[in-house]
Amino acid sequence: MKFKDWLFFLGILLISIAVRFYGLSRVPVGLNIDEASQGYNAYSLLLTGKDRYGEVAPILFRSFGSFQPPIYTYLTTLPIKFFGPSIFSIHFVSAVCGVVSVLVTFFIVFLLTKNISLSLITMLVLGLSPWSVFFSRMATEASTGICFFLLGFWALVLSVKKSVKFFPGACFLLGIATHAYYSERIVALLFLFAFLVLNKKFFLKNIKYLIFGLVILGITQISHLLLFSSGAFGRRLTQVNYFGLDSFLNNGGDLRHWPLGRWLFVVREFLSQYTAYLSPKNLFFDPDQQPARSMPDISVFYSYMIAPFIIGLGVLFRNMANFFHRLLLLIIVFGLIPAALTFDPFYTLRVLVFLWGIGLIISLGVNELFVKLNKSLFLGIGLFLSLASMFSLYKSGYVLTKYERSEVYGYSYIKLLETTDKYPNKFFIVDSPRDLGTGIRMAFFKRYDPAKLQTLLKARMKGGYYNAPEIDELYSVDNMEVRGINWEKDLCLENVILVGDVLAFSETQVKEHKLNFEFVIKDLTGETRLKAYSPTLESCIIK
Amino acid sequence: MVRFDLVVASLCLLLSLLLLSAVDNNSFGKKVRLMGFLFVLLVAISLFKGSDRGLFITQPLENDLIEKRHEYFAKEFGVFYKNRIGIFYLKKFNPIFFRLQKNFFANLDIGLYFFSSHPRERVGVDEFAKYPAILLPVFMIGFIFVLRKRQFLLLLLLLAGLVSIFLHPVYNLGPVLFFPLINTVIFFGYWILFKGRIKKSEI
Repeated sequence: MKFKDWLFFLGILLISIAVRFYGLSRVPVGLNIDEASQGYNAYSLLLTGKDRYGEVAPILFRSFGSFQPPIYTYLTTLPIKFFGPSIFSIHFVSAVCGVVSVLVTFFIVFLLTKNISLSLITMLVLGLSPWSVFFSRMATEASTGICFFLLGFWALVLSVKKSVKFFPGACFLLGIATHAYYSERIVALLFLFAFLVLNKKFFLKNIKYLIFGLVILGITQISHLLLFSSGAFGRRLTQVNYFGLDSFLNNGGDLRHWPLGRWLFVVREFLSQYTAYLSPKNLFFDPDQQPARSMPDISVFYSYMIAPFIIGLGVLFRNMANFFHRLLLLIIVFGLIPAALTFDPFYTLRVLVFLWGIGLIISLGVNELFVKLNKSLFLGIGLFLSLASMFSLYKSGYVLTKYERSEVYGYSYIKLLETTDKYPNKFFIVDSPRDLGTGIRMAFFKRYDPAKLQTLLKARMKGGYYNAPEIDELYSVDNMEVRGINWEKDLCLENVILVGDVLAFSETQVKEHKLNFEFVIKDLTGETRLKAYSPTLESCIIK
Repeated sequence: MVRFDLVVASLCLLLSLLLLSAVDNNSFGKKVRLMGFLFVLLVAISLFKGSDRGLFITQPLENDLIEKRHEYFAKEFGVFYKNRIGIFYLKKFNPIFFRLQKNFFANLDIGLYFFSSHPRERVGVDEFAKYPAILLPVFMIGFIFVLRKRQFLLLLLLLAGLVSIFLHPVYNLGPVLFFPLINTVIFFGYWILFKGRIKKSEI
């Protein structure tokens, strides 16, 4: 690489680090349910070696009706050890994974194409892509999933381009990727298989390494095999797939009256879900519908990227003999399969590998423009669009996410903790049915003793750790109990303050039960989110 | 009274046939003018019947959001926002630009054509499938062929997209400007799959 290229490389790397780490402790303003669960489990593991249910080193973490892949939680023990239990510590692993992914992308593309401009462009596109930045700033297993997948991909390419000795390492990393996120269980294994088929002559010549690598991959899958029949392994898929009879009867439409209608329904669902991720409207304009998985006003890519995307598609398909292009196509084709098996529309978290591939296609298009356009013009446009992208990221990902999405991350409940400190002699009952993450969030921010919580939750656990997890749980944390309000009993308790969201207390209810107003908690937009009342003697008599 | 739906359907059909015959034989010649005329006619009818009259009007709810955001932007951007250019850009220009983009992308959705917008159905819209879902693989094959060998057809995609900026996203005649192109793409997919009429070397 020339000095100029190094400068670009370092510049892009610094930008990628800056957009991922800037204000990481402030935006997002709190923790969503999954982040809080991972954070507390990591805290609990660090202090006791067990998760919040008292399970020693789980293979999957039991959490609110499902199971979380383990890698993110285990890795989070490190930042919690060094920085303490905080929002920053929980988001830290994702941000690091985001930066590593940007770096590895450069090395993969350079190794495959030997084209420095394309490698730098790809690095920049990924470094500033809204999906990559957004998911790097929230604690999600998918970030570790794509990171390990890309590391495995890099090692695979190294094994055919440099030395076959990298192959066992590639198998190990791809095996770890299957433990990092659910989608990678399918994508990593399919991709590895297809990669071996594409390079079958090479690997048959190096059969010892092939077998050694596959044995290592097999070893990484032992824990999955152990859980296979427990229900925990496929729990998430059973919650979100559309293969069941109920799904067919509810959504099958006219196909319900057709012969083989159920099969046709499954095929139609799969194709519609699959193509939803290929639609420019979804990729470049409409964000993911779930506020927890998107930023306001911005989709997974910037809208202007549609132009290089179309050009990139042309470049990709015009030269399908190119090894890089073939691998890219495999990524695109396989990357969508896990998400297409579920009924959630445009669930971006499940397709990060695919989005990475789309980023590479966009880069192919940008590189084509780089080759064809006048260099000064290209750099001028490139600089303008990079600045515009950063502004857009700041506006949507920082400012609007901070204010308009604060409740997704439980901001008002975090503020509630500050308020409750002013009432040391009161006992709080926090109504939680509309936000299941309230209890674990409170436990995390109060740094509640994991040993105590383990005793509480383990006693209530029905069945084994890996069987039928509860969705709703009662959390009792110091002077606070997080559960639904019991309008029969709670009104007769002394020194109690009832806290709930705006739907928990109607004005009539407050008047009828003679409740005393205590305080309100507002979100960052100034809207009232939580209300607090204390019952009076009359409340108890009236109820 | 003019039945615009019939006129539009006839124009679409005629334009598709002309496009097919021209593109298939790679011989445009005089057909370009006729195709251009038909396309302009289609555009004129679409704009007449379905132009987005609310493009430059801010609805009350949208205005509330803009005013709320005004506060956040002022807090977070500081002097970069609190000036004429900043306020014009984020309060005036950006909402209109957002609507233009919304209209542009509204029709660039595969689900809209083959799955009645499933799985992202639009609220309050009576969705209907424009093509049977079984044609999707054929369309995909045809589209890859267009990307490789008939890139100039993408110009039609661009033109249709640009015109749709000014059309209401739920225009009741549907995305008619895109139909001739989609018909042609499906035609290519069909020939490649079943007839092998296009030479293997060309594919």
